Amino acid sequence: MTLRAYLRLLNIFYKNTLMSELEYRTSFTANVLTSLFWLVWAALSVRVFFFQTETIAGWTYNELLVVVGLFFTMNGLRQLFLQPNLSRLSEYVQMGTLDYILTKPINSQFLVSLRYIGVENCGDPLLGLALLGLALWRMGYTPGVIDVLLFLTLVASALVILYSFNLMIQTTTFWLINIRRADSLVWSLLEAGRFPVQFYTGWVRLALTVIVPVAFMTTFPAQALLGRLPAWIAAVALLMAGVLFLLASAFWRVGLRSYSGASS
Amino acid sequence: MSIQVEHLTRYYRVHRKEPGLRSSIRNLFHRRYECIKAVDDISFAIEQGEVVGFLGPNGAGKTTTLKMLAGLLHPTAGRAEVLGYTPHRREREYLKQITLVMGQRNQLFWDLPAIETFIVNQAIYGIPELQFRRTLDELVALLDLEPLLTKQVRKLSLGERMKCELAASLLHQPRVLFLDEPTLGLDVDAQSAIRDFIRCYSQEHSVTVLLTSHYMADVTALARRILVIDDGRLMYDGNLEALVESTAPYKLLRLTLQQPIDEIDLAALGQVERYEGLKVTIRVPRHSTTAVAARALARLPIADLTIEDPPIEKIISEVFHQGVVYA
Repeated sequence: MTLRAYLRLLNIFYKNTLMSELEYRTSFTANVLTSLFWLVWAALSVRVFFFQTETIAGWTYNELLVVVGLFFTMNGLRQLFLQPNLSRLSEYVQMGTLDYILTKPINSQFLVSLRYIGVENCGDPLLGLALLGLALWRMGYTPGVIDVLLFLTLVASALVILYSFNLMIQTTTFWLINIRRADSLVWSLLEAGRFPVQFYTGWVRLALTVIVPVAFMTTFPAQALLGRLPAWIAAVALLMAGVLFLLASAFWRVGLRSYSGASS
Repeated sequence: MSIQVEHLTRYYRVHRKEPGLRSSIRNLFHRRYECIKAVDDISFAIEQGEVVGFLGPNGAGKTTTLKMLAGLLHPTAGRAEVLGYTPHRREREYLKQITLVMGQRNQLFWDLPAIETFIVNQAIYGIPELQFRRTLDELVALLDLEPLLTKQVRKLSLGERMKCELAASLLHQPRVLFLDEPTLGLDVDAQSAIRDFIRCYSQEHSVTVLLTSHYMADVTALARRILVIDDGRLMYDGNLEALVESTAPYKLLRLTLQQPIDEIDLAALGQVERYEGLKVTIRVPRHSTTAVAARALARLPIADLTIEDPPIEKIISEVFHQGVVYA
């Protein structure tokens, strides 16, 4: 299948989910209001840290707001694109729907990963970006073209990294059957990204950068936007995204082989 | 040749668990596995355009066989070939020519009208618009879908949903249909509607159909050839009538008498299976049925007389108990 055919499919998938979500219109407004509440709460609560000091670990209040905004954006994108799909996987296996997916002449990883979209969460990334914009405006800072390009590269890599992690965890459903909880595990790890990794010390910071790359979700994109990130980190992020994506895809195929009993 | 299966075998490794907490804990550390032979050395061949019924009790290996043919399961041993492809490789060209319908599973989107699932399938299979419209029109007419298309799937009855499932599975005009219990849980009317549709559709398009069912009526109405499978082994492969001939070389003579008579007079005709009130059922050798019927009419006070084949259910269960029968 060509890229165009896949894009056409995505278009149909998303229209399709949009229609079924509109069946439950009220949840959209409720979601946006809840998100708005949490966003304002998060922005105000970190203000407390700055009553005594101008900067924490080299971050001013406004710069910290950029990170908070990014955290909302990334988490929103996760809920928009990843969560509605991958959390369904163990259900597919339990209900036997996976058999229908596997008899379709189409890449099963694509179908499982991108079939649905969490329309009711589409407010979150926008709210996050709004906070980010507000923070930049309060600083009176305009990022340069290179900064924006680095920023976009890092955000894209972060999404791929997050996706790969999620897919790997969800793929274990082939052996463990019920792992719906795994989704909240990923979410709680991402929670650490509310603050820049510089707020953490010692091995925790190291772990958040290398083992569970939370730093790539929020800290690095924020630094890129603020013009403080060396370009090689963006290259590392891209490389990491590529490697993790290939790993996750390979693991998915291993899971499928086990499902069809190819190994026994 | 549409489907060719040689020595197909599939084992499952399942872990065994005795009841009780103690054994549950022991199981955490040391699992005991058991090998189940779900399908055990099965061979058969099916021509393009044949409709074949797959019969057998629960857990006999019907669904496992179907799943291997649809490419979902790897065979443990042996070989399957469908339309010249090896199913478990799941090549796109292969998947575009087959379809799998499972009675108890759902591929339609719950909150949307069925037509939306059809459109998604059109995109997945890359069906050109004109062909899609034409196929859909035909399926809508055959299955009487018009009033169902725009209703949310969750509001449809089980039978209506099955009709839509079938339509969704046939839009890409597959050449081989694997139907696993397509009438499971449906009421009698819906069952016969689905049955009629499968018959019409398979004749018109000369598609190969491999169908499993609990309901003997499905299989007898649709398939001239049946495969009987039990405990993973193929017990019978052949014509339905031939099976009846060989395992049940008798017919049932059902009489309604005008007045009660002595049972000895009835026993002279054949083996009396039932004698209640004025109703009598007698087992008569297949070849002398007409002669016996004539004799009965001449000698006994008979109000009504019918000659029947023994019920298929009974014959099949006899196959299971007697062991292998060759056609």
